[in-house]
Amino acid sequence: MSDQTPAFGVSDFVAVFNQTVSSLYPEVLVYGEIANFRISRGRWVYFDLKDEYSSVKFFGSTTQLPGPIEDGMTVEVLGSPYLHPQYNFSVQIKSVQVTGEGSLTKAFLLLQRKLEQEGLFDISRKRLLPEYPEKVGLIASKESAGYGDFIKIVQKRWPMIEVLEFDVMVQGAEAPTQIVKAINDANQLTLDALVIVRGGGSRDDLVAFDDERVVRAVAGSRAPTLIAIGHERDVVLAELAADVRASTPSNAAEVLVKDFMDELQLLNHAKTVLKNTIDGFAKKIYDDILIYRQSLAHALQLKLMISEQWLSRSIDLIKAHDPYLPLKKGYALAQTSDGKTIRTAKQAKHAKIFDLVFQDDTIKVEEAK
Amino acid sequence: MKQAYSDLKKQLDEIIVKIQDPSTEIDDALELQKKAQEIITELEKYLQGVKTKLNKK
Repeated sequence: MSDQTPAFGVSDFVAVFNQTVSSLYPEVLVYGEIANFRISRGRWVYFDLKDEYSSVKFFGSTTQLPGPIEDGMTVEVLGSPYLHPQYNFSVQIKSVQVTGEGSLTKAFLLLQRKLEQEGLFDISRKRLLPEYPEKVGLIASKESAGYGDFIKIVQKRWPMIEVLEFDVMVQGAEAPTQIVKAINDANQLTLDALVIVRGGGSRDDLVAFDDERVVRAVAGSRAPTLIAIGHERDVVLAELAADVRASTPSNAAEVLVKDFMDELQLLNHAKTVLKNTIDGFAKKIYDDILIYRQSLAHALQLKLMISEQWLSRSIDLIKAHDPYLPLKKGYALAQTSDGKTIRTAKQAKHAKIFDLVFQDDTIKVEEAK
Repeated sequence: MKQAYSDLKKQLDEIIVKIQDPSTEIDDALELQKKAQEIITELEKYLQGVKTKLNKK
């Protein structure tokens, strides 16, 4: 030991060590294979990262994990080295990313199984998109071709729709956090649907949409979700959790809104059918009225004819029983001056003066003195 | 028309029945004849009016 060898008490040493390391390496990225992975109290994560020769302890919380982790997976861990006064040296986790094809696939399948068992992908949870959405949220990278394709097609098909845009990174370490925040921000608004799109890329480029946080945010969205990630062949976990999946951003636009011109054509057709139907009804009613009027006129004519015939018969009967008819045969009718008929000689003698009515005239008759 | 067509028609029918009845006294028959003529005049006027209306339509 020389005079220049620094000497510290234990606590001082720990403090100086941490100060030195944090100034030199505030953050480090360490990659290796997971070993001794465990979760304590449902919240705290402990594991070792090891390679052929060495092993380092890591400590963090479950919220920093991208999904289920198990021993044997290869990962990259971003963290801060720290010498704990009691619990020795470890790296405090900031984020974990699964690497290596085998590990990625394993992580994907583990997470898929876990979420499936929770029911996040159940068909019974799926909601329908509104037929004519008026206001939707769009989560995408504004620099991406997928964003451009979606907006162009939506505006062409249904220009009346209002699209609220949330610009996010759709790949990289920051992507899951940004996407989850965008979903949460969108859910503060009243939207008819929430659309998330990104264009094609390698499978690695799409891993943000396999992130458990993103998948849960999609499943928990208040607005019905429509997701199109990558190409037709790519299926990410967020799509399984969404209400509706489209194959591409362009397809998402076609799924979301109807074509304005098609709707106009349908409307015009409906108008024509309606007009023809009303015209048909009107014509039928008019024809019916015409028939009724004709029937009524005919019935009235018939009634008139019957009445005339009856009147004519009545007149004939009256004429046939006319008390003055015998006068035409040469008979005369004897009447008193007040019009009473004299029927006997006795009545005539009693009357002294009476009228004798002939068919052409009336004469007065007086008893000869 | 002062009285309804149906009333006049009914009255004329009744007159015809009475006038055909042999027991009807001649004086009554003369009165009935006179009344019948008045009713017939009214009825003819009415039916002519109906005819005119129908022909207008």
